[in-house]
Amino acid sequence: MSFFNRKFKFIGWSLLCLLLQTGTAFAQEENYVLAHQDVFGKMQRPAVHFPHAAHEEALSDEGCGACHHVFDEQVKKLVYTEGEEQECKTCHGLKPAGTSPALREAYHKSCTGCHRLKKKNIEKSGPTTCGECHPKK
Amino acid sequence: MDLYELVRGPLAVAAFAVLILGSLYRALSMIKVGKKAKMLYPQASISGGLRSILHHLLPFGASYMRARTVFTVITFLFHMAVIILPIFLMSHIVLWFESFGFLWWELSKPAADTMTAVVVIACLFFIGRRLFVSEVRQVSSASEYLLPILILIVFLTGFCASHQWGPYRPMLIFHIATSEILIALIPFSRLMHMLFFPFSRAYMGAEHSRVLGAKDW
Repeated sequence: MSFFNRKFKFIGWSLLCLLLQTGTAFAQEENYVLAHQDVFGKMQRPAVHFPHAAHEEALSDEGCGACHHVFDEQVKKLVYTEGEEQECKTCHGLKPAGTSPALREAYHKSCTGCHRLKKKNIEKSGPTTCGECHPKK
Repeated sequence: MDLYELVRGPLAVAAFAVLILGSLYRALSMIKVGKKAKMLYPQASISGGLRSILHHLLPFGASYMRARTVFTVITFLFHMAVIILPIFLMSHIVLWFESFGFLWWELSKPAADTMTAVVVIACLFFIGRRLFVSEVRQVSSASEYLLPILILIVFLTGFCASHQWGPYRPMLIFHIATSEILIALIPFSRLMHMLFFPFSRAYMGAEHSRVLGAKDW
């Protein structure tokens, strides 16, 4: 009896470990440093420290699609597809491409645009000025 | 309301509205005054007027400039920087984009810093000149001291906010608020020469040109 108990315990723990491991492999980083010298070259302003987890929590109602989107060629619209979240710079580059804004403008539009809107609606919001997102160390 | 949002939104709109409507009002009143005068100007010459505008737009194009080398160099650099910098500064362009969604060519940071230094040095020079050069002091009114001081404050606080010197948020709000005061003052102060200089210049040039055969440059 005790042998079976131990066996089940072992299997249970193994499964839990496996689950946790997979969990960590797909989980998001807590904070990202957004600098992208690969796109911008020499940076004109200090890097942005972006708290991803805080945004996940704050935007839980709106969902990941509040920021993450892809352009659907068929409906000619920005759509959110779960599991296909990519970095902004995957599509947005140094220069604008058609209706797709350049990376800097994409960031400013998403970040400052949303923060200002939330401030206007007297909701919990983030920074809206240059130096509050790009603080000098 | 958030103080930054107040100066960045409604007060900015108000400042530009005062600038545009005030300038229209000043221009219309000037036309009205001009029509009232029952005077004939038989000696007026259009080419003389245009040549006078051109000569006063060119560095060392007029004799008073040739007589004052340092003043001419400083005033021309000042006027270029004070106009180019606010329009082509990256931080300002980002704000225009936020509001209206369009972009234009931007200055590099070193270029912007150099232009700020030019404006600051020039304002100190202008204030000093009014204080210490007796012929200038005699024709200087209080507003002519206050305007370069205000421009100095606007550019210094802008520089400090950009480099994040001092308390960032109050500095930025103070920079925007003082800029808006400056913009709103344009139609109602000596800063109106931004729009009126071609007319006073053309008048002087036209008056002196035909009969007297004199150049006012």
